Amino acid sequence: MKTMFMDGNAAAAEAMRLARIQVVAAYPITPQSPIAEGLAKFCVQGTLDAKYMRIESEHSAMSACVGAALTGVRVGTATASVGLALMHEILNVASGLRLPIVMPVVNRALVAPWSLWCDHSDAMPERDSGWLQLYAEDAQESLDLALIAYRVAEHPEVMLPVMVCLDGFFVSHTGMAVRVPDQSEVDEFLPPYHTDNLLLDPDKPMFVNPLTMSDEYTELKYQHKIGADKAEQVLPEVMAEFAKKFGRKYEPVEFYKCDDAEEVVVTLGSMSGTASYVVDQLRAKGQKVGLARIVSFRPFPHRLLRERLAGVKRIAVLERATSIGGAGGPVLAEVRSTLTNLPVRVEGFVAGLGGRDIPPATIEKVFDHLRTAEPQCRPTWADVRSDAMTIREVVQ
Amino acid sequence: MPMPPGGLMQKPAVSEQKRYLLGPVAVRFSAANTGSWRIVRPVYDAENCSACRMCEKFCPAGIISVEKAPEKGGKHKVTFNWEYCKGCGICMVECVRKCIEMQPEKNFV
Repeated sequence: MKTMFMDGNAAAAEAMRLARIQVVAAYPITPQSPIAEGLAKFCVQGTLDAKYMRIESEHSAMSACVGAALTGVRVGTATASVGLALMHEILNVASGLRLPIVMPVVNRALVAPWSLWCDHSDAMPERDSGWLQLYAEDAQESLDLALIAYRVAEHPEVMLPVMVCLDGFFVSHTGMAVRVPDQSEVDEFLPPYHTDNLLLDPDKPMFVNPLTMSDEYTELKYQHKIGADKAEQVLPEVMAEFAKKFGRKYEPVEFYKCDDAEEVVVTLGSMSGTASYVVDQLRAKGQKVGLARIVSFRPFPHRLLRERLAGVKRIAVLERATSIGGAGGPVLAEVRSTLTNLPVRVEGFVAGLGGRDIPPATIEKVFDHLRTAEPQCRPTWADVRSDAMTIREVVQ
Repeated sequence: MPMPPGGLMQKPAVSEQKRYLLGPVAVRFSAANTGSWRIVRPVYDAENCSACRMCEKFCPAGIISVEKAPEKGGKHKVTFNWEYCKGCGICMVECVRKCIEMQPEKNFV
């Protein structure tokens, strides 16, 4: 083990090097480019023995990953924002074919308005793509979760691709001292990939992805769902094994001061560090507040949330995404649905869109609103400017 | 307990003896027997064939293989894979010496 100063992008690339991926097909896009460049550098330096495919788009990148994964090799790619949107069609092919591709997604707002900065509007629409999704809080987690992701993805009863989501710039470009495990330790944790499922082998021909009639489509989707259900059980097991081996503990949801909490804020990704600071501040003032940070959005940790949040009175779901025209944001809808029939009030809050910072003041406002405002069905926009509708005056 | 890195389902859903693939895949190719669509089939004239391989190159299904005669003046051999030949007739059109003709499939049953 060595300690290196690196940002989330470098940590993600390092994790894929340590995972000994054999094929890389990645297309650079802000703020993910340093991952694609980092992997290219490893290939040139000879520290990663992989075929680096230079492809012309994200749609092609994912297609190449699907083809490569079908030959039974470990595959890596990475993307962000509109790049992920361009992959949408093939994301569903990858998961439907049960291919354990791991992909860091550097979260960046979708267009329009054109933005380079962080929110979750790119990854959230892919929550129904059949991929698993883990959300990292910092650079260390982007390395650790990528290694965990390969183990879960390749588990014979899961066999699903995983996105490791890191907040653009907040995680991808923020440096910290990252503990980088030795190759030999990673090799023990993550042995070479082997599959006997769908495989392109001329000696044992199979016809992959034939036209499937309505007599079998449902059954194949059900197999896929069972794989994701299994992941809910496998993920904490792999995380426990990771903790034993590397000393860093992860859980599908991280509960901070929730045991006696009356109010809990639910978060994802980089905003969580600030949220835990606010929890400490409010606790010092005598307020019984807590934080539940969702690490695994897919599979969604239903059981853990129901168990641990059953006694909480009010829950605020703070999210960096919206579902315009919908009754809730993606995370709010999920949490409400999970806590069905429990006597708990769940309120939604949207903040931090397009790279807007989520400072302690925003989270304090959320807790305050949760305590004082009338219950609402739809999420409250917590940090929208009061002049939103009049920011462009027409001038002659 | 450490888990295996990949591979088969450890506990098959129904039977312990059988193993199952997961995902959309066909391992029996009866549905892929496009040869069953054929109503005419190519027949070549070995006397006239020069083994130029134009039929082999143009076959969209890649089911023709041409074998040159080992000795000079010998007969060249053209093989069609009847499992996949749809009888499209492109080989007939492309044959430089016009030595392929399409004959009704019923003559061969």
